[in-house]
Amino acid sequence: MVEISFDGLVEAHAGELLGFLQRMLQDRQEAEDVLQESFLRAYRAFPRLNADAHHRGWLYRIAINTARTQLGRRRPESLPPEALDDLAGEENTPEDQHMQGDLMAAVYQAVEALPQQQRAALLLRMFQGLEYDVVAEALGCNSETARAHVYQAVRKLRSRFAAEPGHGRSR
Amino acid sequence: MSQVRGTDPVLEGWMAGGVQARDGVRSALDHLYRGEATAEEIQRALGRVRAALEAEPPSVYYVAQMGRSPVGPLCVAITERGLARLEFCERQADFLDRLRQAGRAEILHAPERARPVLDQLREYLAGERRAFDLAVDLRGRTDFQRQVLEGAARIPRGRVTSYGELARRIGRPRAARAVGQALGSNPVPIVIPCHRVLGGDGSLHGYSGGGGTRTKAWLLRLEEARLSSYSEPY
Repeated sequence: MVEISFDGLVEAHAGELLGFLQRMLQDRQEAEDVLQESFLRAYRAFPRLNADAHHRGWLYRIAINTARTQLGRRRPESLPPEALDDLAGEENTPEDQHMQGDLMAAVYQAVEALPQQQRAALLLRMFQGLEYDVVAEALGCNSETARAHVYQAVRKLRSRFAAEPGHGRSR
Repeated sequence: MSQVRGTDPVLEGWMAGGVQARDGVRSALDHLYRGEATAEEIQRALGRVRAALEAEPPSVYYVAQMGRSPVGPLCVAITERGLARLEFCERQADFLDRLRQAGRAEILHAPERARPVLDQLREYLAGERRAFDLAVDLRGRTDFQRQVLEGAARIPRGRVTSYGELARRIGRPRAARAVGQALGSNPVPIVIPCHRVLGGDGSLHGYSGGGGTRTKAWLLRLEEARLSSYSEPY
């Protein structure tokens, strides 16, 4: 039997989990806090983890649950302030910034408005690049359901932002 | 559906505009969600996680007993980090009680898991092994206790030193008495050789394990320690 050390799991997955939590929370400081809390929760549960469990998906699942607890504590925002800060630093005219800011706010709201499982599935699949079996483990469902969550999310975003012929960039 | 690892043709196709998403939607999504954590951010976060885990008491002890040894029965508790407790104890139940009182950790009987530790102890006590090759888990100890224990671990086999000298070694020359106390609470005697530390006059002074100074003397004889070396630098 191959021994999995907890410290090894931390070193191997902290980076990708931090990236995921930044996506999920849109706040670097909160992402760090939640990462720390997630690993503490994982550490406490580690002895009871099945030896052949999928460790990566299991860590994602704990991170998702911890992030949800954190999200439940804070007031909903229309747009993460950090995203706008970044935008202002780029080489755009104020008009461009304004337009991009509007679109970004709309995209953000649309993603944030997705049901929790769909939103998490979308981030895990599209931006973390996880295979569906890992997405499933992270969401606590089977692969088919994980796939369905991703496609539902994409379908909603697509219908919200589909280009209309002859209308330029408006909806 | 063919898939390249980490990508999804349908999603990527839509994202790339193949299904005509509105201009800018993809870059907005990328801007919001694609950014990776930088190496610096990861290192900072890892530092915090490591520090938090360091302060966290062990969540599980794997325990086992060596019913007979030249210094009497021994009980060990191991964590995923290494050997956390070694006690001279006649009854394993007493050892388990003390472990339970120390925290909320789960206690699992795991002779298989403890085998490498027990094997090394057996070999050492039989004079067949000169040094231990074991990780120890000193979480839950104060920084000072750790310094003392790490200092004691560096005393070479066959040598002895004094509480005062060890105190000097760890940069706390006036703390000889506190050093003695820290050694008295050594969670892994024998493996961290607190028995190699003697009183300022070269007497055995004391030993909290098993048969007290009798056990200390036995261990030093086993190691063929030169007792007169206690006042020499090592």
